[in-house]
Amino acid sequence: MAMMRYAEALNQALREEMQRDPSVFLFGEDIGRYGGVFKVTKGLMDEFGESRVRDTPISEQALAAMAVTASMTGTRPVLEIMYADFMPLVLDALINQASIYEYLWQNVTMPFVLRTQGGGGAGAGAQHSKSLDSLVAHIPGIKVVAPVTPADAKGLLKSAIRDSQPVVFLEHKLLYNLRDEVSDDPDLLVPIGKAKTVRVGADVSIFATSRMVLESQKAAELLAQDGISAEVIDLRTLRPLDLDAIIGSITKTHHAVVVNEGWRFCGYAAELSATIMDFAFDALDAPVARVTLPDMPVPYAEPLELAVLPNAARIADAARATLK
Amino acid sequence: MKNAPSLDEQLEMHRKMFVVRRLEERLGELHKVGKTRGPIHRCDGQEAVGIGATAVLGTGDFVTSTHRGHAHYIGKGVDIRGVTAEILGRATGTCGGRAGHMLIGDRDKGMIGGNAIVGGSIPAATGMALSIQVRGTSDVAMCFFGDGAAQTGICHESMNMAGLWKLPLVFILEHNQFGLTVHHSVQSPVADLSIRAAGYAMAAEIVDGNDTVAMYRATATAVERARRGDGPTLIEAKTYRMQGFSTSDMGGYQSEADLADWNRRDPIQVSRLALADSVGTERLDQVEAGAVAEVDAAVEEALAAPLPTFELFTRSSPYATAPEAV
Amino acid sequence: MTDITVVGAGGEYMESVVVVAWHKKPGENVAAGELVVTVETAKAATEIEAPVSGVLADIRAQIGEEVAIGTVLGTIRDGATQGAPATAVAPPAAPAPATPAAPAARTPPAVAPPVAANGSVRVTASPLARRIAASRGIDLNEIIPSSPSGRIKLRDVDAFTEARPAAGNAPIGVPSPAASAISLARRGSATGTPFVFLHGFGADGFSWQPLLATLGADHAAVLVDLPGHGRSPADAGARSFEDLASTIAQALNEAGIEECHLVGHSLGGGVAIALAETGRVVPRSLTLIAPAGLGPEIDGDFLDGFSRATRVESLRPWMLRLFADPSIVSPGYVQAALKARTEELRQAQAVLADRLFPDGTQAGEMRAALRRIAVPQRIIWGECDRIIPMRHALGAGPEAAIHLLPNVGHMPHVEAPSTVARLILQNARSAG
Repeated sequence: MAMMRYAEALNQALREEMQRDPSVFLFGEDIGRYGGVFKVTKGLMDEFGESRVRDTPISEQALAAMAVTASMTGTRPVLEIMYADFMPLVLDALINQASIYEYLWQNVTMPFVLRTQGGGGAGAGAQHSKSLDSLVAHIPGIKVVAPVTPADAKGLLKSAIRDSQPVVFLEHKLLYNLRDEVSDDPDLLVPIGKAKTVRVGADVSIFATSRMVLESQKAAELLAQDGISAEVIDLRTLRPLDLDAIIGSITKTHHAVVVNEGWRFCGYAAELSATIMDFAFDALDAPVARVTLPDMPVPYAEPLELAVLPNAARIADAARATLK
Repeated sequence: MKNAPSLDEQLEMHRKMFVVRRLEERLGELHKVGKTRGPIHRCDGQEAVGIGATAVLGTGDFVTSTHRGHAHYIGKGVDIRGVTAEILGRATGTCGGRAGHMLIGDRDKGMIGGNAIVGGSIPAATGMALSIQVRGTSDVAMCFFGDGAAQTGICHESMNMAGLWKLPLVFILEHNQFGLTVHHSVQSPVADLSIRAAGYAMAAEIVDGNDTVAMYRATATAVERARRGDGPTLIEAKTYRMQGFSTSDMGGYQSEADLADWNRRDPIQVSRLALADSVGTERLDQVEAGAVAEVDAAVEEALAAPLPTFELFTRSSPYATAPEAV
Repeated sequence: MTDITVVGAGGEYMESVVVVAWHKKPGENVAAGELVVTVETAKAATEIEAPVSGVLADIRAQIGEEVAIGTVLGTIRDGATQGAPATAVAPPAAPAPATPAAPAARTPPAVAPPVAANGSVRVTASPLARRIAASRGIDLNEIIPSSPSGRIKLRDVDAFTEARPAAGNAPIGVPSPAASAISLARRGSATGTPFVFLHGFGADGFSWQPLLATLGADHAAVLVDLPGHGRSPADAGARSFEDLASTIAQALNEAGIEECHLVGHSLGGGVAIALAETGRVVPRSLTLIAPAGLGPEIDGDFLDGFSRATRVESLRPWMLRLFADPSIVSPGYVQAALKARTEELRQAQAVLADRLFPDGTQAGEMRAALRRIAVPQRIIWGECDRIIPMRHALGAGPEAAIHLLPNVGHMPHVEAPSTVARLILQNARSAG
């Protein structure tokens, strides 16, 4: 075990997997010589060379489409898309290419990982602060993961690289400097499709993704001061969902709050809410509460940005409201 | 370096062109009597491009195609019976009826695959070439695309990277003059799109796309260049689309004069003429009759084959993740 | 989850059924074998019993809906252990419910609780509260929500459970007729003077279903199964209309019915007259449909053949004799009739036919008794009746109204249900 930052944990995962499997290669903008704008790929070009760690032109559409076919022909590409806000540029590759071939042709695999980072809170403005989880989670055939802790970041990235199908790997710009203990066991994987209960509670279940897990944990502290026992579940994988974890928790608490940093309308939280009603309607003692970004752009100035981002206080308020 | 086809290869290209032509004609007939499904994009008149270019490749090489890919499929060695059954939506099709004529893929034959997002084949082949380069093998990727697809942004992105990284890639620009109904002169300020290659430090050549031998020669040079590690080539094959955009095309935008002109340069006639002296018309008739019989048998077999039955696709977890709530 | 499907009715002859009544509401307990839904196959009504004990989870086929045989009409959720993940929910912090849900098997089988009146306001409650309340037999209308949302939550159901007396768990409904084995099936409204229906020989209470469909649900109806018919056991000692009437009078009295509108068909007509004679049930009006007891003639061949028939092939010709319109006697109808009559019932009916109609003759004479009954009387007869001659209607007293229906045989309530329903209601209204 070693204490390391989230970005370092990702770096370690990439290094270990590249050492383990020569078909793994990285490409993306600024990831080589510079080591990535968030330093996730730092030092890897020196270790693995310019063929396996490629700086690319600013060509997201082609890069994503290339990742699809490169993965079909014997390599395991890991593509970095610098901001989740650029995901619309790669959607054709995901929707019209990656999502169809396993079904149409059946004898192909597409072991590529598309890493990107999203979310607000860093003053990056309306084109560099979004969480577009629902856009990718909407697509059949694409797995979507969003780790919160450094340990999960490492374990899930390793699982994603070894997976035989496309994985979109969602990071968050405010998580890169988060420090925590990470195992140095190169064979330790975190399975895709398994949620994690990060706080056990009895009165209300809070289901959260990415950085919102941290806010939900703070919300649980606030609720505890009121004598409310909140359970916090880090979904970790956005698709496929860990239904057992969701149903199990609601069966216990009968109250659900779903938290996602994306937009509300047709958002990821909406899907969670609908899924809960599909599978646990009769266990609900109150409507599912959603805590999301309002349906508007993320503003720039600090008080404006803080006003739209979901936070612990809003999550706690939502939990209290469901319990009223 | 060998860049001319042997007589046997030339005759085989002739045969394959005839197979494709017969298939297109049979599909046209079947469409008229309502036995096909959805639009079908025929490549009558363009057969020499796909057949001539793919004749150079081995099975380890990869090809990406377009929505108009029948000559590419047959050229790359995909079984005519599977292709025909797939086009007719049968369980016995190459893809079990799931894909249809625009999206046929056959991984074992290196045909991966048809692509009905115009321009989609260009980064697809570029990604395969990147994979080849990373793995360090001597295979090549070949990309078929049209003059319409050449106007997409992703074409520029892909060619830029192909030139930048000297990827083992051959771009075959199947220039059939039309993007759906719009003539290329209304889509591009230049007649010869291959001049763009200079901007990507890429070799380029303009070829008579109705001449299989010319296609073979140009492609052979390009493939050798790619295998040597000297980077991509853009081959602009000039040809003409004789049967409209698809079976649902109402027509009316192609001039009779142009059609007649190109009809005189029909690739099968060009090929026949080139072969007549060396193999004799009797042999050619024999080969063509064999091709007709092969296609007709494939059509009859497909029509008699069972339709596929639906199964929810749940092999991978992110497909059909949330079955209907009970 | 266990599906409720149509299996027995009509067998392979039927392709579809029409749902005529649900006797349980979603959320209510049902016991295995308990009546949950009535469907009509051809013209025969068939009861569908709960295949397992549990809670009626949902109703998928609505009243009036035609559904294919084999369709899932509704589902029963195991009320104890499986199915919904949260079945065992008592919130961890709350004390255990003071009283467990009433055992489902105790629910009276024959008399369904009254159907909720139309137009009642829907209670707002969480899905969990709704489910738990139903499992405890609690009416949500009695609960006052504590949430500012106005929605009843689990805590409100728990508070109510704790507050009410333990006995409050018993289902609220009409007194049980369990003392008597006679089957009385209640339909329609829970209030008002009930219409008591007495069926004919070889039929059962459900033979009134086509009539009830046009009578409407605004009226209270009690469908009696005569001894040795339907769900009622044979009365070994019964040798006359009077004997049968005595047993039924007791059953009606035990069910709290002392005043009613009496409707009797054929054998049931004779019994109705005898029932009025007992004085233990006060008829407000009397409607007799092709009644027995008004003359000696009856089709003895029919009685013999009908009593003996154990197969579709032997039963169908006799059933054809009942109707003017042969198309009514579909294979499914015959099959349903056959299935409804067990061998035990068939034998009991043969014995009864021999006692009441020895040698093809009506032994019981009820004309004098009929003339003594001083309530509005109507006699309805099909002009094509081949079982009991229409002219027997003339044996009624001068105060009886006689209605002769053209192109109708011995089964006017099946062949002309809306006309018969109108006449019954007119008769009842004339009683004031």
